[in-house]
Amino acid sequence: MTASPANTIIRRDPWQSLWRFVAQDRLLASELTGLAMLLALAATLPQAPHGDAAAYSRWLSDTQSRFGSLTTVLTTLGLFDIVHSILFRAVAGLLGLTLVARLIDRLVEFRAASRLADPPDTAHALSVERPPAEIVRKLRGYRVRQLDAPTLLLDRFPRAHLGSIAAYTGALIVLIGLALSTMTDWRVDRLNALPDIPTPILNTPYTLTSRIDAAGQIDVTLAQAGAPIAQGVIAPGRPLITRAASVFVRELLPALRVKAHGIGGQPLKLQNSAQSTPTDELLFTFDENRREAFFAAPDAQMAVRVSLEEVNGEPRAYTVSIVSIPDAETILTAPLAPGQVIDANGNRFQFIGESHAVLAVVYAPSQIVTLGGLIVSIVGLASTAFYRPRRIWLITQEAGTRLACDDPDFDLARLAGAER
Amino acid sequence: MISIAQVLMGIASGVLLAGAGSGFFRAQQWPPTSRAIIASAFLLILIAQFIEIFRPPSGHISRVALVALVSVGAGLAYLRYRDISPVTPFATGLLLVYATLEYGGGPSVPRDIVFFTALAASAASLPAIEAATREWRGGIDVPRIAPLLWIGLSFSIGVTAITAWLDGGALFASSPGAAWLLAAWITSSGSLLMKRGRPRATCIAVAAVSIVFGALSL
Repeated sequence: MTASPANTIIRRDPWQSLWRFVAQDRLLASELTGLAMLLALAATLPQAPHGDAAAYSRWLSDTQSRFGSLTTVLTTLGLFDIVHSILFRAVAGLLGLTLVARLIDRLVEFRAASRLADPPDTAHALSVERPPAEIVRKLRGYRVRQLDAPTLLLDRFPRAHLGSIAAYTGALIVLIGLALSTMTDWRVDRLNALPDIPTPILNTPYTLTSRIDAAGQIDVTLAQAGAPIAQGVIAPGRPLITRAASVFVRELLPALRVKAHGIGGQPLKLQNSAQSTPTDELLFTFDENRREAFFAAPDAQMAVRVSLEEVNGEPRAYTVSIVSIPDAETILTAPLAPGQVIDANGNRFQFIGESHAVLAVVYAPSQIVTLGGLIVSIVGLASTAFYRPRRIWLITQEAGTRLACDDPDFDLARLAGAER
Repeated sequence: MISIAQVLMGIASGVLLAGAGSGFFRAQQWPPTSRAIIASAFLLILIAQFIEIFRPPSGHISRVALVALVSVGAGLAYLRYRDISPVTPFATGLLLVYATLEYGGGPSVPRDIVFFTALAASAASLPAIEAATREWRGGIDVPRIAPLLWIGLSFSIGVTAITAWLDGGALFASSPGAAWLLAAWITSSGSLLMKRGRPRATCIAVAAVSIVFGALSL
């Protein structure tokens, strides 16, 4: 071996240096750990809700009281909407670049795996005083080939490189699906659908009409410009899937339909505000932000308040209060069961228990791409977990065998016996 | 009024912090007495948790106790067959102290499949931390536990995705527990694609810690 002259300049190819940097384990681990930390922040900090004005105002109030003056800084950093923040997208973009570089590396490795080649510089090696035949006998499931006169080539799972290729390809497809979702998908997360009343879906040409039966099943009709385009029965965990949009049940919440009759049995007109048109019946819905309902029966000169109380955190028990309008005197305060008829000075108020649904309407064609990518990736990762490709070189020497292996996890000393 | 559980937690935390003060990198040379003290600290933490189970405010088992029981139980069973490194119980202790302070006396065990798959996956967390510690320090052991952790997490993330989709048409749920699970799954998946070394050890450790927090947050 001759020493290099002292003034030799080793020129590195900048492109190759950059490639090695992008494709190295250290960068991939940094990106994945970075993503994990951002997700951990998303799990720890309250994330801003989308598509629900009431939930957003509640979140805003809670956040400002919890974080005080820090709220502005954290909002500017995008930490209250991490998935849509520039930082998250930058890490995901960089991860995409790394995945492309590593995929190309694996494709090159896969091509190289089918060729007969000498051990690379990165292979770890060991010399033992045993003949190659004795070492080969200890190996199971390896394909043995003669590279040249002194060298045997042993391959285990040579096609297993396809596993990591599938894993990288699947991960890239997932990233493409996620990028597509910002352009193609839309969703309305909490649509309050009142029974039998067409509800417009914001920023779309669709309306949704629902009818709920006693078993909690919801018959929904999706219409475009007034013409029904899809209809079906849905329930929690059983969505309606159509080409136009899919409809999911988020929650079934209580509602009360109210009718009233006067002393002579004639129907009483009801109003839920001073400006509203008097009608024979009213429908009141209750949810987290709306626990009370008020209405008046002008002909009976009565005002009624119905409130929904929580029992063990669940909205269960109704209370009704009836007040006479002229003298503001309380006529009645009593618990109310759905279906009950309340008599107040000979006037009869009927409260019929109903439900209303909070629905999610989703159009997400990109999910097919994302799901496909996830499946390809999981199959590839499962294959990588159990079938790791490995190549061992056995080179016959004067006093035994020199072993080399491209898998740094493989213990060559154990294969060769006790000799180290 | 300080409860017995809080007193025990205080003692256990003090012991563990004293252990931390004695030096992380000297942990492997800790004498048997120190190891016994550390083990006693864990026992105190568990007892502190179980006092809450015996006298639960809501009548339900605390999820912290269940996660601690499964992860520590599985971890100790695994370490029974390995050369026990005190670094692992050290890390576990800090995790449990944090979890107990953060979630102690908190919500009870949710009766859903997402939680129980995450709980099952968290059983591999301590062995994974132990394997990652070895690998970080240049050990030659192949962390066979990493694929097991990944399988558990994949089941968990699959169940989470199905549940989230049926619930609201999203593949990834937006709850804190789901975010921790996703963090655990992506780092665990990455670890399968790396060669032996510190980057892979880091990914395995992050996945193992994230799954425990995922189970605690669900």
